[in-house]
Amino acid sequence: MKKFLYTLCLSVVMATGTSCEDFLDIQSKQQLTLDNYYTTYEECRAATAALYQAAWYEFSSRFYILLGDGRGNNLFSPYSSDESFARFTETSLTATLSNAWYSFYIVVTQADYILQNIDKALEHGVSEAQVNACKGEARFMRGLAYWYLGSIWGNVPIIEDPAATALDFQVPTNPFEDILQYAIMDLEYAAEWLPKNDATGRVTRYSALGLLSRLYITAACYARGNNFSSRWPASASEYYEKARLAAKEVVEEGTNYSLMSDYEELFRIQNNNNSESLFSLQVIAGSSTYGTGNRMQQWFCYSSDLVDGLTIYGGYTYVSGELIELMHNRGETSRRKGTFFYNGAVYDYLGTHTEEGRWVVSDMTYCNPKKQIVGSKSDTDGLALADNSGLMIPMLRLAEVYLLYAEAILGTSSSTTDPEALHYFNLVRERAGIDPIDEITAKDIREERRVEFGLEGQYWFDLLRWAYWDQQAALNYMNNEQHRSEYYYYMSGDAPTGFMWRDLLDGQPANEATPDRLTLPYPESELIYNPLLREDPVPFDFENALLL
Amino acid sequence: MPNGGLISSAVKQAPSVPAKNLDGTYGGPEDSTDSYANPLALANLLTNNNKKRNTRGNIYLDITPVDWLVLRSEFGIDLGQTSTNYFVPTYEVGWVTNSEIQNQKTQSQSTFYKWNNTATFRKTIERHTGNIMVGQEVTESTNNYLMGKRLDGSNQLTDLSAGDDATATNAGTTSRVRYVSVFGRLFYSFDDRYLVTATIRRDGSSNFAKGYKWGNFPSVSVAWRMSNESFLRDFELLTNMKLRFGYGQVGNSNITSFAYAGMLSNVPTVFGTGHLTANIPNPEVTWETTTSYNIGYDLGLWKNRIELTADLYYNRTDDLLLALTLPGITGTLGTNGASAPWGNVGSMSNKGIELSINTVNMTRNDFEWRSNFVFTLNRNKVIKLNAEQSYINTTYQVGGTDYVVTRTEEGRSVGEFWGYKIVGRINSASDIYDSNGNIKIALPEGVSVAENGVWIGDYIYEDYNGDGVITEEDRQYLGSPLPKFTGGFGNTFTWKNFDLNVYLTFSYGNKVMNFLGISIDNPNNTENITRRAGTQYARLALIDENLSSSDIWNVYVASGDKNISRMSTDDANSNANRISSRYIEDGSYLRIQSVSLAYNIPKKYINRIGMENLRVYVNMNNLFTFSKYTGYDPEVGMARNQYSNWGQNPLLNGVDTGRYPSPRTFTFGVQIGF
Repeated sequence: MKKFLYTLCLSVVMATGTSCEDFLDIQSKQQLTLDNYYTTYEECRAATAALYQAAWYEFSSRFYILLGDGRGNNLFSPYSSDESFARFTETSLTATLSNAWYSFYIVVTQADYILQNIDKALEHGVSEAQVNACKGEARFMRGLAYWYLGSIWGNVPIIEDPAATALDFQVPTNPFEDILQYAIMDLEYAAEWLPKNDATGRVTRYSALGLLSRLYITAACYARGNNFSSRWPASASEYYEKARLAAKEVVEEGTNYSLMSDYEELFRIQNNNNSESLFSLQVIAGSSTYGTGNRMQQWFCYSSDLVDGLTIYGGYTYVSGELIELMHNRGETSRRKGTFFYNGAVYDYLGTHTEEGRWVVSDMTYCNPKKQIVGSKSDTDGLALADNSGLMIPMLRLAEVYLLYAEAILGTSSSTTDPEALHYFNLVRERAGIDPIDEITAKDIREERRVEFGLEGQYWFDLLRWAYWDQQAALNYMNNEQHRSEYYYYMSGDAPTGFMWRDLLDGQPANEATPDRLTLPYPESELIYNPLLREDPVPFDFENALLL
Repeated sequence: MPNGGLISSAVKQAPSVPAKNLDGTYGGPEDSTDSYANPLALANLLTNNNKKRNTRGNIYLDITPVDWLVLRSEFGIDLGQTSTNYFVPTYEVGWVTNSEIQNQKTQSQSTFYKWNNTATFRKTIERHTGNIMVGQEVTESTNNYLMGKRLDGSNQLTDLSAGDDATATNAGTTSRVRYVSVFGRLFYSFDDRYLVTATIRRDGSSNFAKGYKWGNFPSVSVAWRMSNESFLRDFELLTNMKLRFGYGQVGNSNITSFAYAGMLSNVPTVFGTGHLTANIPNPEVTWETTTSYNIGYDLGLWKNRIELTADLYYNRTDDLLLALTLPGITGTLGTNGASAPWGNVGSMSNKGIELSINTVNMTRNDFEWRSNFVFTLNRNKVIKLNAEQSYINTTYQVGGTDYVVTRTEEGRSVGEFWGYKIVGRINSASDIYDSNGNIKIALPEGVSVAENGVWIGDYIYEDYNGDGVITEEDRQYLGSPLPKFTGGFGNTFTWKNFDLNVYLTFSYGNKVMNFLGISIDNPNNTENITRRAGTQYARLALIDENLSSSDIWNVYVASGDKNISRMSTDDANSNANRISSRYIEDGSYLRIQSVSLAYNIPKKYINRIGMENLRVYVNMNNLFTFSKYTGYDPEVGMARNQYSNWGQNPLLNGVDTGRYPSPRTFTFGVQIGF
């Protein structure tokens, strides 16, 4: 019996010993662990690949347009709370504000994780140039996310160690000027290390330079309004010069990129990653996996016939009278047709599933958005799904770099006749079938950008950078010249009346634009978690930055 | 399915939509603002079912080498198979159309086995009875999931292969969780008067990292059967009297696998599979331990015609396991964000009384009446939190936006509702302005008095911190989802071969957050809403019809329910989407849980046809609930954690997110015994 007891005790001891530890050690067959990752170049690239759409999804699914165009007053949705963007009536509880906030910080933190860990690849024989190019991709995305965050909310926290932030998430904000400079450093790094050529859809040195030019101009405008503290260079013309050089290299040396000849063709999924795209969110056409698609057709399409019965919710979102009037008065043709639907417009490439074989717009009271609408399966080689149009979402086009180039040359002058500026500025106009001009003012650039990038989420940011250097003029424009929430008639170009305001508001006039309202309120739940959002911003410690 | 589930679709559907048109087709919304297809049509058109199969087996071997020793080896296995079938055909129901067939099938196989080996030593020497058991156990559960999905194809062909191959997607995952335990138990009884049981177990879980896998959990209980004492044996009326003391610890390791390690999620990209950081790891996460202390008293009188059991307990949970919710700056909120870490977040206590009384009230001839009454009173308190902050916020999401709905703070009970307190409604300009024309109420930050701001018909919120403006700092505790007490009361009446059973349950003092009200009790919503929001909203009227409607002194609330706000597309005052006291309701209830009536056919009739017994019965469950709660069912339970997808969250207790209400069921049955 004693022997038996001994055996029993031994087996119990063994059971608790090493064999048990092994038994309890389990490996995932589904997910890789960070500990074993970043051992090959392919793994480094798979990490950056996920930053091209998945991380941006919540921003791209609606807010992209609601903020950039809604706040810029390119949209008109009088029956929906979306109109609060046009009316400046957002509060910390406005829906969709938090979606954008989440999304930008997903981009930031995921880029941080890559930057924190990717150096390990160097020990496994991946070259420094390759590792740095991947870091360049991550910093491109992070810099762009910070540009959005700073532009929309002003002072926001710079997050460099997400895991530490998870332990103590009450962190102070950093001032907008630091956010902007941090973003510029990211893009400068990206421009330095990204290759000039890469796989289709990946960002290159030219993508980074193009975006850098936008960021330098933002900084130039900020400097021009004497907003920078003494910690940063304050000369507007120096920033403009940097913007000019960055844009110049793109337009002159980025020979892989060229303007599409037909403006409308830019917004068809058949032309995803076209020659003009410097950066588009890399939507997976035909994928029904949630979070990988472009949902804007579902949100903004007005007719289920147009998409051959796919479920859509866009019946009550219109384009603002102001954008229509501008397009109409300028005699825009392809840009008008490519941006919104209006009575009489005929689209040969939409409605191919209908009896008529094309889409002819009629019986439209207000004009609905067109740009994000790609049509039915039959119009899209079978790829359009209800919640994924398949259209890659333009974030930076060569046409913008042309206009940024002109804007950088114009600089602080009231107008320019510089031949370089005119050349590239007029290329954009000519492509749209609009006569060239021989002198460029800031207003010309603003308007050109508005019609060129209408419904691409840009116009609010254009107004904002105007406000950086001439706040009163920008506010006056918003308060006195803009028609926020006003009804209109549009009889298309041919009818005798053309465009007309109805002299009728929807009963809830816009709030006055004020310096405070140029930034948006932080989402309520973020304020609750982090009361320091309400405190004064703390200068970011660039000396001890972890991931610059 | 357009816009959410069947219940929410049924609730939000415009009431003017007929279930069926005169021609027999399904009615549907005529207006493009109403994107909810007819729920009846959806219920009939859609296939969405779930099949489960389970097989259990258990086998053991006993060896008794000597009469005082039993060796047992036991093996148990549980095989489960779940398959789901989701099929959405093309349809046109009024304005709502769907031209995209969705066909998704899933298969999931689970295997759970456990193997334990024990040795039990038994000995009785005179009045001493004892046994000792030592043992060891391993368990493993694995799950294997496979999903296939295609779009389009034909409405008639519901097999996956009939869909469009080009749209095919699939997924497959496996998971595995293992436990190892060693344990020992000692039982000793002296003369059936003094009883002691002591156990100790050491459990290891694969859910934790090396160095954090193991937990030790002892327990001791002592009982004194006083009724067996000589000095009490003479009391005839006393059948049983027992005093019990207990102390014990139990562990909980029920969290997602690999929460301790940094994992990478697989994300489809146009460049091939991409990898995102999947979670913020917590390498130190470990067992949650609950320590219980208990004093119990059992009493049986008059041959147990009256039985009383009373327990006084104090339970303390340490290293409480919880999936944290963090702010967006950590990159853990929203689609494709990383998961927030699991943490051992703190300690809390539950203390209270449990009481149970069974009585035989009356036995007379063919009639018997028995009652049982149970009563529980529990008090919960958060003792400490291991966070930088002394509180934990918990959010729930609607329409992509997270709202903080509860806060858990040291010194208070767990998961108390936390939001703005409504102190009134603006019925006329004099509710806003004092006699000097100054604004006398606090307005939400950034909002001014205007039609598109704060206006007649809006709620007034309490300026809790007194700074003159309504911000998130004015949130306050709005009540607890925990009841002051709960219980049940049952009565059974037997007369000849009939028996009638009525069982009531009750809960008192618990609050419910009617979260669904954010959408349906909201007059601004274009979908279907509650009757009071739709017809009894604050209607504004002009004092002088000839004067402007934008002059606030000319506007007043003419009619409507005093608790409902005005209609406003902007809703800058956030009457609807502000977590406020208007969504907190009294969840106390008294429920007729069950009524059953049965008749036993007398044996003399059935014995002839070879039956032992034949019983005919009718059962009514959830017959009626007396409650002031305006939602479907005050018994809400815990909402699921939205992000972790991991079971119910104790910090979301009492948050009614449109949970499927308990059904009222009627059962007619026949019970036959041979």
